[in-house]
Amino acid sequence: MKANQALRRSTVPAVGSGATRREFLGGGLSALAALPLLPRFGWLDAALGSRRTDRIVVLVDLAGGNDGLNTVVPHADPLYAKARPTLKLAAGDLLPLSPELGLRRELAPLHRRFEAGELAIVQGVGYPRPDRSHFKSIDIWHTAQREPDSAAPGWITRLVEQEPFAAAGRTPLLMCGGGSVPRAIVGAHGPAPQVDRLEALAPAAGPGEGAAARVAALERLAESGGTSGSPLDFLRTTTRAAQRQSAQVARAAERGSVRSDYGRAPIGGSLRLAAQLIAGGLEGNVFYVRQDGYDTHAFQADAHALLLTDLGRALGAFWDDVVAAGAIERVVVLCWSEFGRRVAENGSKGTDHGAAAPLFVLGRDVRGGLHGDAPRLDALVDGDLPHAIDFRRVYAALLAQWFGVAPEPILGAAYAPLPLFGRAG
Amino acid sequence: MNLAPYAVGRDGPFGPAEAAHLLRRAGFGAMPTERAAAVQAGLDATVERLVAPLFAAGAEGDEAARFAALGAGAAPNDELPALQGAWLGRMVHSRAPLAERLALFWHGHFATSIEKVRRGAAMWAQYELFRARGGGRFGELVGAVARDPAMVVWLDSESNEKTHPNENFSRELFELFTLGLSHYDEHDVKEAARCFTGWHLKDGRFWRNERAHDPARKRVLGRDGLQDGDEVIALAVEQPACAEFLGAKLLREFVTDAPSPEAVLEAAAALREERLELAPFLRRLLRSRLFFAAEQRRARIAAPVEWAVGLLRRTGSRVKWSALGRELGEMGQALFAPPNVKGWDGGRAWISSRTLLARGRFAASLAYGDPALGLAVDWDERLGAAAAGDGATLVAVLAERLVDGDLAASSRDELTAFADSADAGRGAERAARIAHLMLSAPEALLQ
Repeated sequence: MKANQALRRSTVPAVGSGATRREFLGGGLSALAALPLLPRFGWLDAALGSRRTDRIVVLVDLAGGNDGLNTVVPHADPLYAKARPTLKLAAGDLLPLSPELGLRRELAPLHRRFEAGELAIVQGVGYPRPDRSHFKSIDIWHTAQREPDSAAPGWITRLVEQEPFAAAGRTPLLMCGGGSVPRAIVGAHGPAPQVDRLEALAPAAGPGEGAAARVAALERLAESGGTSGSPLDFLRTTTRAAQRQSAQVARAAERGSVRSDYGRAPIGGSLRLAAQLIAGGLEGNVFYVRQDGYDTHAFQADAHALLLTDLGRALGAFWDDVVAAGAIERVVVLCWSEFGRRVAENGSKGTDHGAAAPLFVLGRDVRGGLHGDAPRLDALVDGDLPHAIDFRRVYAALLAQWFGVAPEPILGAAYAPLPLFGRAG
Repeated sequence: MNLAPYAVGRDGPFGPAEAAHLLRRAGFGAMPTERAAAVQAGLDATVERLVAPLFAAGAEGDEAARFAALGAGAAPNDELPALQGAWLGRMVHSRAPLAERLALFWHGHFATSIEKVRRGAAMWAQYELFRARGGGRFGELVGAVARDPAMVVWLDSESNEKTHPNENFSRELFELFTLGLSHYDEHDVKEAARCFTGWHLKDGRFWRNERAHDPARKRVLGRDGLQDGDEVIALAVEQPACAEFLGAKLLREFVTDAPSPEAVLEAAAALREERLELAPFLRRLLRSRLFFAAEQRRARIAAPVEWAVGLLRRTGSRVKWSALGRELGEMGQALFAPPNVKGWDGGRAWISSRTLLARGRFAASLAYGDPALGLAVDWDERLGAAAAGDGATLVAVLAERLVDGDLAASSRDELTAFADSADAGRGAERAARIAHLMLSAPEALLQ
């Protein structure tokens, strides 16, 4: 059975979850609601078949709250120009997505994928009762919980900590790039590994002969022991994992090569690393990268354009390198931000924190095109765009249709997967 | 009863282990001789010596002046390394380490980054504000920070105008600086932003731009009639949630990554009793039962700055100050450039494979010497005859100096066996190798 057929049966109601019936009816799935209800488990495993450990997702986190309205732009809507007196973009600044919508020119590499039917733009994505705190909203996106408690693990860690993704010798989840460790990659057993510079992967062994003996001693010092869950146990476990996984990453990096121009921005470096490791055959499934700087409260126009330029170039280069490595059929990219920004610009030629926004899913197996409805600027809630599609329906699609695993145990509730993958079907 | 005074004798001793704990948490750790002196002086006198500079900030010796000159005299194109080096130098040499520790806490609390502020002098002035007034009343500190030029730039107060309020500062004032989530709503954010309209800069200094100020009466946090930002700050600080928010954060900084709800309530009550004045509150906290409880010892992951500064103090190594900040950035704590306005999450969030490897590199650089960082320790001179002693002797002496004698038994065995093996080499090289391995043991990151 094909993945999307399984999807069509996945109209399981969300009992006791944050999802509402309305959300299941959104996004063009309304016809499915009439289908009979099915048992919650069982059908999924049977329908989805094997778990796809050969597949990869690159999670691209646009941190700070990307201005979705000035990314996928409803330039034909007079309310748009009215809300954005200084920041508005005209059709000439944009690449066409539909008669009403345009994509920023800075994202031309993504637009090429859109035209090839390989970019899904999911509109109006968010969650109930939008929170305008960066940190709360990041927690919500990273844990897939509307009210995450302090111990809630990163949602994707619940995928990679299960077999067969977590099998020995694999690096199922890796952050590429510097900066703080995001909650998304912190699981029950600690943080997933992080690499920003390949030359920093080797353990410091010091000068002189006998380096191997010292490295072996470093490993023995980190052998586990002590009270489970204690700070020392945590440090030993993460140190040992860092030693092992750094060696795996270093080996993959040696084998892999890239040649595209990613630009000089950090996001380029992060995606270059991911491409190199994919090309080198790292046995992994999830790469997390982050681009900071989207919190554009003041003088947004230039800063935002620069961020999108860096992003577009880096994603274009990444795509080309992954194609060259012959791995493109196995790779998708999910690109999101913790919230969009207020529809009306503020007095500083910037925008304040908002709510729903579009997100991108990129890949050969992706059902390209526009998903969901264009933003309705005449139906704002507290000055913000309300969400029509819960982001967890995108997560559910990735889990069910791309990785072939049941989403509900990972997300903690049933969310109807959006039809995003399985292009052929 | 968490914050009741630790009664020496009845609750336990004040010996070398307790002195080491106190000096690690309230300073950056101490040499064996300093620990012995603290035991000799007793708990009260030691706490008093740590806290006293907070009541008389600015009464600092020549070292501070030397490093202030280094910070202020930085060339524009290498401002950040110079600023970082100047503060780190102060931390390493300070005779008022708690004042620096507290300034570091405030830097993480009111987290402001040079990445946006772009003016090194303003960043340095903000740090001087934290250091000079960090031990005072919290409300006064918030008021000063709201006027601080680096903060004004950082959270866009400059473009907060009557006609178009900018919510950036007012939101973070409630969420991150005073109350925490769920103690205010969007309406409060919007109305408070109006109160702060016109809090601008002129020639780089705070300036009330009356033409940009919205003088209308606003309703904030359930109270009507507020006009100005100072009224918002006063109102926020007197909320019960503020003392709890601040108390929890101070407990996490100085005592435990996971304070109990009861401890938070007690800390909040103590803060209120001290009218939110930090110095007397810290005096109580640092000599409390909770602080000295056995389960708090070596239970907190040291922040990179605390860890590295502690090692530089303990080893007396030379260092190229302007190169040090970048190394700390690799470990996850770039001073004057926190990741975002929330600051560093701290605790387990300090740890990733990347930051662990960076700490390992620093441990190796310190142990073996590193020309790029200017690091050099003369182990023969530091250790004397012990450098040539048997494995157990060398490990014991190094452990006293580097980790206050606290090593897991398994690590002690491993290091002793290594020191007695042919792999260890001889003389200073052997001492350096054992120091490197010891500092790379996971427990060496615990404070």
